[in-house]
Amino acid sequence: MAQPLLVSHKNTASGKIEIDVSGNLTLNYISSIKRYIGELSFEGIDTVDINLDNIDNMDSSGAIFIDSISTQLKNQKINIICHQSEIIKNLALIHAKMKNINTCESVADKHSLLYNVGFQSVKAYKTFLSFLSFFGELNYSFYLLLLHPSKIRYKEIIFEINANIIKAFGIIAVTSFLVGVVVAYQSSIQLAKYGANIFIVDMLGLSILRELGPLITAIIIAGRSGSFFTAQIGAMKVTLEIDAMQTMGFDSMRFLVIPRIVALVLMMPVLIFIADISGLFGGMLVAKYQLGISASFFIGRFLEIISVKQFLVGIIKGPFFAFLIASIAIYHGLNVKNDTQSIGVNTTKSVVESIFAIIVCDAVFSIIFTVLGI
Amino acid sequence: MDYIVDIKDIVTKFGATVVHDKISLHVKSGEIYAIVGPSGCGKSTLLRELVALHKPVSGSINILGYNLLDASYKQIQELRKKWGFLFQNGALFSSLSVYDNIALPLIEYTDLSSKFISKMVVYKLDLVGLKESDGSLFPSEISGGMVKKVALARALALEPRLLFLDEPTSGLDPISAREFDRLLLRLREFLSLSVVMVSHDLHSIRLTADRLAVIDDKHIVAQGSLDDIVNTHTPFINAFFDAYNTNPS
Repeated sequence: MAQPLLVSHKNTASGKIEIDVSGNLTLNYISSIKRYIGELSFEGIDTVDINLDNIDNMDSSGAIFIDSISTQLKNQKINIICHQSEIIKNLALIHAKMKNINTCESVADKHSLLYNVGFQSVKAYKTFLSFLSFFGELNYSFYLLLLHPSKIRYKEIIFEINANIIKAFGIIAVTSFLVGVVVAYQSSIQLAKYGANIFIVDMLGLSILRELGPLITAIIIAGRSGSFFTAQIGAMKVTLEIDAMQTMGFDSMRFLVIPRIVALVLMMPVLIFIADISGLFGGMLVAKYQLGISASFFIGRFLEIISVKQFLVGIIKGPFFAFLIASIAIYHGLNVKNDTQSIGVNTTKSVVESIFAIIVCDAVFSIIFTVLGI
Repeated sequence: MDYIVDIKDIVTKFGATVVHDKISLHVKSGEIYAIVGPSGCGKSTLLRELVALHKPVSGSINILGYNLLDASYKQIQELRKKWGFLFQNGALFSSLSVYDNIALPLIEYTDLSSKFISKMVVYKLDLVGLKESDGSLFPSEISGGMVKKVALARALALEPRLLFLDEPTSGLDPISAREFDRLLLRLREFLSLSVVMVSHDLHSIRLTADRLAVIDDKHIVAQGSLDDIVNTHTPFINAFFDAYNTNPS
């Protein structure tokens, strides 16, 4: 393809400049023509003749360029000279089209700060309302299922327990073992300074059983099962599987939502128990090698100091955390719109919001337990 | 070079299954060429081979003067700016708005100002029959017919001379489909396009295609104008063009 050749004849006396364009007036060359015109001096010039007689080829971008050349040369009168009927026809067509199109305004709407704040607030409020409506529907479905327990999808519940709980045993155990090691190691240095070695048992027992065990478990499950639920249900939305289920009369609440929630709620305490045990085991190892507290001594002190109550305080949080994780994840999954972007956005939202909800819930529990003196 | 697309002796295999056995065809400049055939005969695969998404086992493909199978990566990249491809389901980028979908190739491959690009995008939208305000919508918010139009506008963004269409009218209602056919004819005249399309839509073929090829059982069983094809008799052609013969409305 030939690069267009540009020649200009300037006639200052008559205030005229003639620009000859030959070759291809096509997309790839527009910016070079634009630059060429930009470099010309238009001092004392009031008329510009653009000669297109020698053009071989012009595509629609070239025609748009010629049509809009007056935006570049604001102060001059422009004459287009052309005797090729094909090109005149195209120019006329483009001119007629572009006249109806008003491109001066930008395509994206720009709004004031106040508008945006209001818009986002209303959006957040509507999201909250739609979550409430999901929550209500969920409770109603639960109620219906409790009236007809034979309709509960036991097989799905077992399947979800295997996928989301049993397969998470390893990662939960390893993570909380390491957290136990780290906490014990950090505090052992401080405790040794005061000669208060034995208090490592109190520290570990209280912190792991009451807070760390449940929190670590919940956060891992939020990352693991929460993202899984959202992405899976979101993809089912995109491929219209959920709609297909609906038309066949399979209630998505009964088939998809409740089995997942029930599986997590039922089994979360088991996961917390595993987290507790492996966290304490990690702490016990550090106590033995760092502080010289033998395992039997550790366990003896543990039984003496830590009551069952502390363990139950941690365990009782499990089902609440599980419910938050599963319901937020599924809610976001069902909220996926018909495009791939939306799956990513909702998965992120689901994990972030469920971790946030877990921490808020944990804080609420702390207040309740303090008030009750537990 | 008279032919804008020239295919010789293409052999395609998936594992041990032979899909194409020495297929040859050529498309003249300015022509609308249709490829028809029963499901699974490898029409779409042939189209994918033409745009270097799939490599045949042997044969030669000559497009716009390039030998596609021997072309370097750089040459293929060069070619990719010279053709447009309309996917069957549009394949719009769902994270971008309609406007950005069309503007993307212009932003990436040209150094034009954003103002000029916006002019071109709006013109392309107008060309395919969409409004400027449609530009701010996202692919998930528009109907199937609109998706096809936007995808066509995107395929035309870089002013290609050659357009590939994979079942352009499938999934459209008959009225939109005819509208699409007329749009195609108008664009061909206006932008001096050559078009290669795979289609099942007999009406569309009759209205738009200058010549067509019928692929059946790994071979091209007939090639030429619609009248030539109708006078060739194979089981598939007889069945496919039955409607045409009995009801030439």
